[in-house]
Amino acid sequence: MTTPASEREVTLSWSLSGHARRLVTLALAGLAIAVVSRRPEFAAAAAPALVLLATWPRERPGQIGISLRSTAGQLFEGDHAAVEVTVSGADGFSVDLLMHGSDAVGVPAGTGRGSAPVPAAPDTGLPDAGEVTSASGTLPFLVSRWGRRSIGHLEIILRDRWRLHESRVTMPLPSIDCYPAPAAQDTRVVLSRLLNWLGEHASRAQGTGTDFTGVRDFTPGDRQRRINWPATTRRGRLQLNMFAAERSQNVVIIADTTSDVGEVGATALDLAVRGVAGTARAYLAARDRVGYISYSNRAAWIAPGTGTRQFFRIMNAMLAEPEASPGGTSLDRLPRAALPPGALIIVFSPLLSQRLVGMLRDLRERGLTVLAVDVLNAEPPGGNDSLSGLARRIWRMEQQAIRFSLREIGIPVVHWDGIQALDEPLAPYTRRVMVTSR
Amino acid sequence: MPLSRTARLVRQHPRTRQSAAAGLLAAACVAWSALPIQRHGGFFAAPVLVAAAGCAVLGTARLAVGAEHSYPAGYRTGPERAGHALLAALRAIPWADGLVVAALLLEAMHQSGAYHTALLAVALLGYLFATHLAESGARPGVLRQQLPLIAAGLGLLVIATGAVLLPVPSGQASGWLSALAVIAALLAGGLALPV
Repeated sequence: MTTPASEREVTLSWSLSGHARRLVTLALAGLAIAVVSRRPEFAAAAAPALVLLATWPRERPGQIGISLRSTAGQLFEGDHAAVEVTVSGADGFSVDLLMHGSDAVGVPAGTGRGSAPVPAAPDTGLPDAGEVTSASGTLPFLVSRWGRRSIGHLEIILRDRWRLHESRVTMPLPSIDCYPAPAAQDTRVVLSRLLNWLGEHASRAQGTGTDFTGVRDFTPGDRQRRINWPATTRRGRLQLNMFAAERSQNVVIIADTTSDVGEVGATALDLAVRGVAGTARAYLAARDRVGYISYSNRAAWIAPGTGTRQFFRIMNAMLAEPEASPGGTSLDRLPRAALPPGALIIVFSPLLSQRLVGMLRDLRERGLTVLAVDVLNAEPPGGNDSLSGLARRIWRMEQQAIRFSLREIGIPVVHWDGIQALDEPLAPYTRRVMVTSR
Repeated sequence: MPLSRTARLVRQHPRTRQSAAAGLLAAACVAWSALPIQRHGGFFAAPVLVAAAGCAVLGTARLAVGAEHSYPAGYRTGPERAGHALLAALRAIPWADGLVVAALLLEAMHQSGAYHTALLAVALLGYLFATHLAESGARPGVLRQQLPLIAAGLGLLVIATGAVLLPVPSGQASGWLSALAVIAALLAGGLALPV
């Protein structure tokens, strides 16, 4: 999806180009040495530069029109997009485009520079009828980190045909929404008790799904096409195939945005949002109802829903996150409105916040099925001395104790490093249904 | 035929190729203007030669690092700040102008004949165009429009050098040479007029 083009008029200020300055230096130095040393060959050496400088341009545009448009308004991390630039009113002048990407916006090597040759206006001998020729160029870029950010700024350099005068214009490029790259996930954790809504997960109840669960005696009214003829032959009476009903479930994904530790691009928050995106996509693809809760100083949530629109609603909610901060108001209990009964709750967190750990215990005590994905992939910085090593060991033991305490109350904790697919750490829970019990 | 790593780099990156061409032309200018200096150089020859060589090296380095200022935001250590200041100075100082002046001064320090100076002028002009192409990232094709002017300038250079090389005493030949110079100047002016 392209963004609407933004057009603006820019006033130009012209100056001598570096090339012209160097030609002037050559000409003046040659003439000066010729006069001082009385050697005419130095004046001859200045002749080519003087001839080139004799082509001094007389008419230059004072204003040009610039139109900027991004080929994508929203994209995912690592996606390629481009900015389309159209310059009008620079007839007969060469236009060079130079893109300077902002933080986390990369310009592929050799592509951040573009040129838009403007055709010279045809000389008809008549007064200008208002026809404006324009030139356009495309500058590709790559956004490497999620967020709502500016692409950068664009430098436009106009040069006359003899390259003696130039004008430079710098203008900001439009902003772009970059969604986190969804983590790879194909398998899903399925609860033992499912909603009574049509879905894709095989439930314990009998229904009209595709998973075979057994045979039973035929009763009048049953569909004849479901008769199991081999079983009927063996037992001597009509047997009917039974299938599991296919149901959906409510899944609520919680992203812990209270802590953002680790290397830039692979922080705990980066991993959390990528995990949320991957999980939301996986469950929405299975027609589950997926909700989202952002847990920081305040809780913001999106009620469970289905479909692609819900996916992008969650993505936009993640981009609108406030900055992570250690302080803030206390929030120990999530409101009931955010958590439908019987929902599967998947939490992406580095488990560094005691408030969040307390909230997870509270959820478990309320009978909800909680699964925590640990996205902590950094340790506190410290030296190599024995004291720092001891402090680090104590910190690790504290972390292990937190995870152990959660497992003890029935909250499975799996670690995800952000590189492998989410299927791998979740494998013990995706192979069979997850029993919902206190 | 397998290419060396340097050759591959030069092929893949136009700026590297253009900077290398400018560097080679700068080295040629310095060497050409300083070649007879062992025999005829004066007291100032050595410092000027050092200055010319320095301008050539630093000018090529400036083209290689490019003109973009992309310093990361945030705290910078002392060595990083010093490095950035050095880079800023490298970009700010007009090394090519210094090379032009130093090469002409070196040339003026010896009497090698007008042809020597003319060839130096051609090399300096080539160096200035190579420098411009390297710093603007433009292709050599952008100079196509200037070819008549360059040809006119070189023609004037050849005629003027010829006039210097053939110091004809007063007579009919001298008049022919003057007329030829005037015609050449008119031709050059005519080529420049359509601009």
